[in-house]
Amino acid sequence: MYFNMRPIPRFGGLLLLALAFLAAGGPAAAQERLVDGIAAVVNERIITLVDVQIVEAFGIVEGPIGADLGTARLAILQKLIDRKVVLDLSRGQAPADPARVEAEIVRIAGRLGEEETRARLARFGLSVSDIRPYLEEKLKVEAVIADRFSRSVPVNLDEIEARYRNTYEPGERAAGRTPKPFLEVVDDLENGIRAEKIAVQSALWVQSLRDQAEIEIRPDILKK
Amino acid sequence: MPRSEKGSKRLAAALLALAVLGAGSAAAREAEIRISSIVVRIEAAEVRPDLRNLVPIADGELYLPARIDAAVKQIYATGLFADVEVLAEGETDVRLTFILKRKLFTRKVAFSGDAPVSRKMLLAGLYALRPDTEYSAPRLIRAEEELRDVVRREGFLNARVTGRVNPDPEEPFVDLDFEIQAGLRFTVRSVEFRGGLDGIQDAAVKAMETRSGRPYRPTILEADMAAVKAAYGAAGYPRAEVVVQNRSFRAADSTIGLVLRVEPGERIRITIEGADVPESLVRPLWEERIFEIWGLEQAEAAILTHLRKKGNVFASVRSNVERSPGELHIIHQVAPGRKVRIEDVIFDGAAAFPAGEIRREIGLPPALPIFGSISGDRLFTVPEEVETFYQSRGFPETRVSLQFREGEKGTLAVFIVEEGPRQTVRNVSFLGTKIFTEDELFGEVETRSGGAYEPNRIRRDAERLEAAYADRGVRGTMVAARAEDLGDGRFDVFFDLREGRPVRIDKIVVSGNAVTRRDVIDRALLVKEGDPARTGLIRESKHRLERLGVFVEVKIEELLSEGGEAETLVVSLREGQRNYASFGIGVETKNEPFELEIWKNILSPRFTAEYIRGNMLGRANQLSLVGQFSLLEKRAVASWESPTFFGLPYQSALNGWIEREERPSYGFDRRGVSLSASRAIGPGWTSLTTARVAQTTLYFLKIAESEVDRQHFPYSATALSETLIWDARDDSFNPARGHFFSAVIDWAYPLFKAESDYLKSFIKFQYFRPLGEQILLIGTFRGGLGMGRMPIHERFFAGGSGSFRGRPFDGLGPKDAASGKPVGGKAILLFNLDAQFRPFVSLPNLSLAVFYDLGNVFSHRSDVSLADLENALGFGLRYKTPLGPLRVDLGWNLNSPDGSRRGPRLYVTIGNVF
Repeated sequence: MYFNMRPIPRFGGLLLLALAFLAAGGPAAAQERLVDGIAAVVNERIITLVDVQIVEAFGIVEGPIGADLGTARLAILQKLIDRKVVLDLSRGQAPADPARVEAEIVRIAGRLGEEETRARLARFGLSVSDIRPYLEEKLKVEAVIADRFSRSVPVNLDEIEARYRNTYEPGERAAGRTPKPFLEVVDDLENGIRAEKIAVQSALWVQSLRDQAEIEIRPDILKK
Repeated sequence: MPRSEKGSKRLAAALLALAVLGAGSAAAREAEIRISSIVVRIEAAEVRPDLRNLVPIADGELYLPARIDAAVKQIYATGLFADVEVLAEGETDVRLTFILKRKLFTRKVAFSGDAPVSRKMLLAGLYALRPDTEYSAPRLIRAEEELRDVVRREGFLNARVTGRVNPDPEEPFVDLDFEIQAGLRFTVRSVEFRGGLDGIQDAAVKAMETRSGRPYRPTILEADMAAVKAAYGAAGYPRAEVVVQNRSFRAADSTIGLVLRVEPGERIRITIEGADVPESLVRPLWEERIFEIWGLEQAEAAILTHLRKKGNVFASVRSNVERSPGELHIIHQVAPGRKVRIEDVIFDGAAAFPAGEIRREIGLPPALPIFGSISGDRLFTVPEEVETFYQSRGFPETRVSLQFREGEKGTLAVFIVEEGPRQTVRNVSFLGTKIFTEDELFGEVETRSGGAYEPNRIRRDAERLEAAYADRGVRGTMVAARAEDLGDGRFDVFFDLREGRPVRIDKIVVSGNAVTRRDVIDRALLVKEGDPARTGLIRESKHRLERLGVFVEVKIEELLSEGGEAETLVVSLREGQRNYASFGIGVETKNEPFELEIWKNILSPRFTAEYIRGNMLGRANQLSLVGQFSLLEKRAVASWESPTFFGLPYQSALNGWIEREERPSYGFDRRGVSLSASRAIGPGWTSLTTARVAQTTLYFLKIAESEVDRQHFPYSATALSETLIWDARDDSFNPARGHFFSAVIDWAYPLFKAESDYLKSFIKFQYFRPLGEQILLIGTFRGGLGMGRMPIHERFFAGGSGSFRGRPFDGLGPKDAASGKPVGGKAILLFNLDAQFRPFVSLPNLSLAVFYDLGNVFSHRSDVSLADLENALGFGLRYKTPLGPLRVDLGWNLNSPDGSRRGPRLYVTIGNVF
């Protein structure tokens, strides 16, 4: 069977040749692109575009789902800034527990899969130990906040009862489940309320730290 | 098949093969993307090959974003740049461009608009952006807020402040202009007080600036409230609070009504019985809410210290607190004991060290008549000081207690010393050393075999070892010290070394020198490319750059390379202003002040003007022009100073001057040129060599003329002098300890038809010795000899506030037979002794002084005789100023041989005596 091809004019042949060559990844197309830059300066320490990309790629910090690239990265950057201002307060304290850092690495590899993890490391030119500082920073901030707030956040019985009545029971019924008795879930409810309170108080505290810090954000770089 | 069809098929096959092959090659190339070249630009325009060294990535390395990111962070860490961006071009051979944006600094700050507040007040409230500070956009926003706050505090609400930035197109500076729109101002409609106690605040309220009809100014209101609070404090209510309870603004007539609430708090009454102790000593303790037990302890300690200083060393205090509604009554019952003066201090039981050494080490002054040996409050800190002294010498269990004993002449303070066992070091070992020998390491530590075992010293030795490695260019060395107790009071000490890596300086990058030439900077650096990165030399290089006097900021950062064996030294400089001008005006008296009523003396003005231009030719040279004008002297001097002397490391100065000066016996006009070179030749030692050519003409002469002393005929001189200086004072203007020595030899030789032909030498030694905290002794010796034909203006003179305070200025020594004016001499001997003491602790800058001067000027060296020395005795006042002490002295000449007035003579001057 023959392919009945119409004759290809000479210039068309040349065009095809060029296209094929390009498809094969011939001489690099000369396009200047941004590789890295300063996304924020926090008390004279910088957070770079690559920092944002790394924490995004490995899920160390997550941005809002469904947002465009610039918005998602800006949200990630804001969280990194929060960490920096909290860490400035905790300079000199002991480093994060190495076992917990390893556990985080295992969690990331488990979530992404080994091959994908390796690919992402290679993309940035990183080894596993290179992402440890990002994880240590995260764990240290969590430890500072837990240390500062967990002891001082009371939850009273009225709040737990209200939570049981107004949130837990309706939620369980809407999901088609029978709500458990109050006493069986009281601890979980208390922990949940406490966690929410800590989140609110710590957010206020972090905002007060940000108000005192010298922060400069350069959001344009995140869109590039 | 037609030929054209065959060709097309072949072409398609070739294309297909090429695509497959190409795709395969691309895959291979993608696995190994390399950096072909790196370019560094400043502000996207200017390519800077010299800054390429800032990027620790070599051409040909693999393209790794994390590595590039590390480079960005390293560049930012140099502190030179406000922004760093990296662009890449190419897919497999990538060309990187680093675009750096320089940091900007604020140069001028201006205010415009209808700023209702003075510039001085605006600048005082501006912290975020001041001249010579770094500029950034967030700081501009903060600066606007600060200025809004300043204006608001002056009563202008809703003020608008807009900052405008004018960058300099060539230099990294910005000029700022803040436009201020004042906003609304309110008038006080009413001020109402609530709470408070009748009678106490009335006077303060009456004196308030904030009142009906006046503009509302928050700063003034704060001051008014503080005055009301102070009134309560004075009435015994130190914890009174005055707050603004309510502010009601009325826009219709732009007025504000204020309601202030006063909470008096508890009345605090303090009673100190049994001794004359001011209540003000303890009252401040109770101004805040404190633990009462703590407050009583602090108050008792303050009372005891106060009494012990006055000599009541046996004083004791008992305290208690009585509460009643609205009042806290603190009662201190003091038993002052008898007053004693401690004649001397004895260390009983001190066998390991002589008492003199203990006294010296803890800074105990010698016993003095009248003043005693030690102040009462110091007595009670000595036991702890002695224990610390013993601990530092291997006696960890020493205990010292204080007792008193009556001696023959008075009370003795006896410190009973229980030394306890001594701990010593048996062996000192260094483990893990490869780079340096043990002998070299021993040279760095103080801990020695057989010496005292002292844990703090061992810790310091570990730090010294780490510093020693860094000083030799080795980075990352860690030293851990430990000791093994042998159980018999001896210890073996081990220094475990984890040696780092030797690092050499790969590149030196200099930035910020817009005017200063690179070779000037290189000459100041003690390290060069290829040298080991020795921290001591790097630190000293920074000091040498600072000493050039042309930079307001010098930073040297070390950027380690990836492998850790090389580093880039980044020298970042900020050049300072280059033009300075100053102007001075003063008053002088033509004669010595012969009247204490100063207006009866003949006064005339005195002016000085100076202009300096720095960093001339970019070589840290300095040109200065100085003019001085007064009745007695007029002078114009031009100087060119350079940090080098024809490339040699000598500070040099070329001076030219024209002057006229009037002295008691003569007046002269002189013009001359001199070239001098100075250099530090050891710790505190300086050598100064000067070559001088000058022509001097006497325009009046009140002594008999001679071959060299002649009116109107110029006398030309060429001279070479060498001066050695050893300055070990703690302060050049107001020395409190140390010594100063100088020796000059001046050889005037007849060169270039000059007629100068003499040799002159002069030495000076000055010693400052504090005795305790209150007394300072100053002794000075000066001696000079000359030979050859010395004209009057080169001979030695003495007399006056700077040399001999029993004669008028220049009045010591031989006189002209006819006119009685001083003629000077070829020999001089002077000895001065000053004893200064501070009579009032509350006036630390004021001293009383007693002085004794001894000396004379002799016509010839052969006339020198100790029997012919004149004596002067006197007293005076000293007041310390930044330029030296202001001195007022009254002196009496005790043995004036020529029957001249013996005194008193009044001397007023500024600066140290000699």
